[in-house]
Amino acid sequence: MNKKTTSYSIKEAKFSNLFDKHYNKLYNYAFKVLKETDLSEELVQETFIKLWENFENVKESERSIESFLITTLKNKIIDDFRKKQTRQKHTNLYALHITIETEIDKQWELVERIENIYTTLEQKTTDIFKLSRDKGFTYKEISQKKGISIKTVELHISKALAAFKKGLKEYL
Amino acid sequence: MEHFKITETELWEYISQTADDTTILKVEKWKNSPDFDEALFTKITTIHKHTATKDPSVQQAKKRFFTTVKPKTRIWKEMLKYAAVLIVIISGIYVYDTLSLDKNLIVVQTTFGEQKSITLPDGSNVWLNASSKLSYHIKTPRTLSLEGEGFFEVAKDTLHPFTVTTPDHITVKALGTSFNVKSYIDSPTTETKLLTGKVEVSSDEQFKQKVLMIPNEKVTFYKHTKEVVKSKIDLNASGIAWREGKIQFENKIFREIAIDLKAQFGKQIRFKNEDIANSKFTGSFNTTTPINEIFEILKISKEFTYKLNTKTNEWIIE
Repeated sequence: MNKKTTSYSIKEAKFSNLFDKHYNKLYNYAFKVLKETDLSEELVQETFIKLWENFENVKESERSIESFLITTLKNKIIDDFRKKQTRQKHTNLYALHITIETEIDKQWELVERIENIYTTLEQKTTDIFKLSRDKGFTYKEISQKKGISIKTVELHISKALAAFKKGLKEYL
Repeated sequence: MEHFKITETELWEYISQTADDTTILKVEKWKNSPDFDEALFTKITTIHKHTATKDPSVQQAKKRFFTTVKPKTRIWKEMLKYAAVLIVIISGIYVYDTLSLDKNLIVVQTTFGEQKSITLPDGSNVWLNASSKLSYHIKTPRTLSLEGEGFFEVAKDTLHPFTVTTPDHITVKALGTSFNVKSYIDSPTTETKLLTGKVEVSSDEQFKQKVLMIPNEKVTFYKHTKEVVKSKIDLNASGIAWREGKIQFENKIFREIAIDLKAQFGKQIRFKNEDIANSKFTGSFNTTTPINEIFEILKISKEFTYKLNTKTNEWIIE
């Protein structure tokens, strides 16, 4: 009984880490494809639940867990899409859609590509770019926050933009 | 001749809406000059779009996850039973206290570019398009108010009529049916499209007659003239495209298309040229297509210019 409890708490701790590590990325990916906040949240939840149920069968390496999560999420998105499609066919509303599979793979590629670009940047550059992109700070505000000159802020932004221009060439 | 040089960082400031007035003016001058590098502008805009992220609450998701997966012990279950009783009593009093304050009004809302699907307590399904709001009283989930656009798939229940009322007091009453109601406040019309079943459109203020609809018909109410017009719809051509992530229009004037674009992209579109506002366009776009790309394509058939006024946050079409 006691042993069971401890093994649960280890598993819990592991999952807590997995959430911190993967939740944002998976959620953002799902939202990019689905464009529905509630549905994205729901499918990512179900994805983690599936990992919880199959945790003992998944190799505990970084990579296999990540690929389990993304494959599960992709399948859930496809399932959801199929469900909607059946309903559409039923009410005879729409022509069949082109393969959603290629579309969602492409989106995931893009999400991964962007993440990779961030890792090639200096941490400082990433931080500054995100302050501008996500928080909407002006260059002046960033310079005050970071205690650097506006010129330096601009240098970091310009570095980040150059990296994105190069790394996302096929998407721009 | 004056030459404009714009750095990428200035462009980024402009596009991410963090630029000050001097930079905005500079970029806007550049955009109207021969030095304007449209390819670069599009590139930076696309980078801005692709790097967008939402910031969901990981903590909340975690909490929800653990409450789902954790095994419930017997004591926990016992506790839960009591907790449930407690909640019932508390909420009983609560309801009694606040009945007059409309705390029981349930509101579901979407922002621009967002869509939601909702299953109502009676089993009916609603798809809510961008920038829309659906509300109902908890006790009467078949009496709905709608602002914006929604697609309804109604569960059969002959005893309780299913009605949707719009801000301009148009009521659509249905019996086991699927239909689409479009009533954005800034649109000059309120539109009902029927796909299956039977629907009755009426109003307590606007007009006296009750309009009965059969499938593949559309009823348009013109807010200014208070006219009600019934016509056929071609579902393959336009229909309820928004439900599959498409913005579609057929032979529609630009001013009306602009209302859909605003719902999707969140920015007001202002026309400085009546001729262009009244020009008709036909097209089909994914909702993921950036608005400037849509403008670019529309431009092919009718020349106009567009620019974003970052101060008022609206598109100016000339």
